[in-house]
Amino acid sequence: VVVWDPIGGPIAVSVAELLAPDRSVAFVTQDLIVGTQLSRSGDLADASTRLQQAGVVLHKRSRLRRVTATAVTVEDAFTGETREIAAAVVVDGGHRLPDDGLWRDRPELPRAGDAVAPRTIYEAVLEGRRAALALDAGAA
Amino acid sequence: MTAGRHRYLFSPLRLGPVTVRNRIAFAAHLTNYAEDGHPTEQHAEYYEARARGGAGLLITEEHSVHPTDWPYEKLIHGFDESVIPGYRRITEAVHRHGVPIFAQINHNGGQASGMYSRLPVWAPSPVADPLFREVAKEVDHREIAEIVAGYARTAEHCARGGFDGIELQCSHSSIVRGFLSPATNHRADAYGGSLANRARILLEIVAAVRQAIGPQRALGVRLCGDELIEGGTTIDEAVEVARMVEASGHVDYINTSIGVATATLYMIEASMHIPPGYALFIPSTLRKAVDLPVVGVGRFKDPIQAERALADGHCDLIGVVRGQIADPDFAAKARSGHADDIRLCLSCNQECVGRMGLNRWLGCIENPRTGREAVPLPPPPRRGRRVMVVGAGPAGLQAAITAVERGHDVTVFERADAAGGQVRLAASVPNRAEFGDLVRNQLAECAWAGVSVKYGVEVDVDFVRDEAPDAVIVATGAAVERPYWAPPDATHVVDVRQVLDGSATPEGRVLVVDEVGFHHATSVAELLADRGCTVQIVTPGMVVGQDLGVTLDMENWCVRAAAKHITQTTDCLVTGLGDGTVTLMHHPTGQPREVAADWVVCAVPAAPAEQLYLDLKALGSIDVYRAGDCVAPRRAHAAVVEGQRAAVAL
Repeated sequence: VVVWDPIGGPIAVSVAELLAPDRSVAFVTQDLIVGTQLSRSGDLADASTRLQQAGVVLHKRSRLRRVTATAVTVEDAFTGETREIAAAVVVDGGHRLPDDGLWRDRPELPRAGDAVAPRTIYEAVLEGRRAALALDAGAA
Repeated sequence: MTAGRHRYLFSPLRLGPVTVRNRIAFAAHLTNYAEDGHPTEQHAEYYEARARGGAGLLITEEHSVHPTDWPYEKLIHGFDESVIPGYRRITEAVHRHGVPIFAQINHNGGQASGMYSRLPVWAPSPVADPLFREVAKEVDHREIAEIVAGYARTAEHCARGGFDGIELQCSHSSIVRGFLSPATNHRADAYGGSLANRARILLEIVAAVRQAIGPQRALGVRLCGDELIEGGTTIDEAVEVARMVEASGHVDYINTSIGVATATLYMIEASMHIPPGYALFIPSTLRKAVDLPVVGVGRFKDPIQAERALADGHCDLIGVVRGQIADPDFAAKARSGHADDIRLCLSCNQECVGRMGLNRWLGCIENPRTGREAVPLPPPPRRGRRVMVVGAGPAGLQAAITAVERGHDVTVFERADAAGGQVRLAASVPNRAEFGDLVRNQLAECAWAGVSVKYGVEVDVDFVRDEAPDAVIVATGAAVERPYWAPPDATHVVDVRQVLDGSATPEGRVLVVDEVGFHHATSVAELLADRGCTVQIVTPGMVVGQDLGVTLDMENWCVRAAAKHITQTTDCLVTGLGDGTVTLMHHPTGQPREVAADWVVCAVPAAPAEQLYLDLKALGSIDVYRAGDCVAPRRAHAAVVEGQRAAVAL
């Protein structure tokens, strides 16, 4: 399994940890450090250690360029050199898009959280609360 | 005063309703001097110093036009009317010296996160920025109108605050850049698709801002000539946008930029590893396409270099930012024929660019007053003391300069036959040579100020007793410290300083041990690779040269290292030496490894060379101070700052 992580947050790292006990996992990121944004939560070094102790092979400074049925092609972020990594499955840990079809049909309605722009739970809770308070304000 | 050999540099230029007296612009750059979204007294003093120093035009750092734009803590909230008194303080200070000052206004768009604003970031399309990595909210037409209105409102605040002009930053971190760039604008409406559509918001902003500021103030647009990203804006589209901007009839000049701040910042604020003039093709190309004056930027650090760019017709104004951060009197010294006295910028990026990335106020490695303009030094309680400075490294020389400025009689004694200490060694690596300007600049200041520097003098307690100074400043630097795993008879294990001073000449397979995380290991690795060695760097850290990211040197180091076949091994400690081998431990797993090596070169923490200070202090009869690495081995900025502090303490 190849896990592709262009974000560096907790999602791809935790997916790799989940898969590692039973599968051969390769972790691909364009960054010099795996899970680079985990520094905010204090898990940067620990996550790197856990992945390596679990046998996850780290492919740092590598960009995912091509996926076939049996392999992925990655490109070195600095030299542009390419190489192949065998892969039966690729897990995309990349960015998401808002699921906003309902809102687009009724744009006058408030929306909150990932339907505005996919971010973290914090923004979802904050904007959910704001949307609810806006209803109260409207009623008043 | 005479323009001397800088005929073009010191000729006036009209920018619409504003005339600048020379072609040296202090272009916009972040300072982190703002507090709670407001400009401060430090802003006023900082800009005033550069106006007093002869700059032709000042352009402030960016002011945000909308509450959705807050990518870093200390951003000026120009959309808030309460900034106007701070604006007036800045403009009045600068105008006292007859220099015009423009305000740069901006919305950073998707090149941000909601960390400070607690709002979704706004962008033309839901594309995550490569640095902030937050998916943006795609703005609708109502929000686009709100952005345009925010620009106009902020421009009006700037006009009321006394600014002489407005610059729209549409170049390297901007929602306008986001709209212009095919890499970040995926829209299918009237604001996406064709270049005319992608430029629509820019032209709407230009018209709205011109209406807000009227004809009496200048309006400039800063454009990116090459984003240096896949699918991004290149020079051909930049030319077309420049033509559209000119055709609007609202704009008085065009400024230029290269790169994207959140993807290729290392090319915007290039360090000494990028040749000067590297971005000159952009103004040069735009200037051929439009009649508006064009500003050129990109590591202009010398007035002769700037004069040449003007004389060759590449641009009409030169943005000298780091050059004037290092020396506020850059322009005045050039104009008066004293260009040799300019404290040349090193392009090291350590205390200017580097501190910005760390959310600290802007400073300068070689000018301890930069960033402290609003905090005057205390007046000297007494003058005329005979001061002995021991050591002619950056700490000792700065102590001497400051002590002389404060009225003391100073002599510097240096053990070696040249000044500079470790700076001299560091600058001996060919692509680090500009770092040596730190010492050259300090020696020039010493000579100008009348400091006597004596070389080849070993100072001990008896020597101090014989000289009988009123005070001694010890700046004796740091000594090499061997790591615990390297016994004294392991002659093939050496320090980077021994390689640089020529006392060790490694050959064959070389393992460089990086426990410092800066240029020490990487520059020596390059030097040895250039000499034909097979080089591997190992570090216990997660990245080799981890602090190179702060100075924007990481990307190009990695490129050069790959070209020189230098291998980088992370997460490993050296635990012992074998016969032609080095034993490592991969600390995340505890697994040992063996590496074949003919030589081991160590970039490891040094020890303070503090014995003279301790001996003098123990006497109890001598007024003694210390500064720099002999306190604790650190980097050059600490030496310079402490040299000044020691002199002030006299």
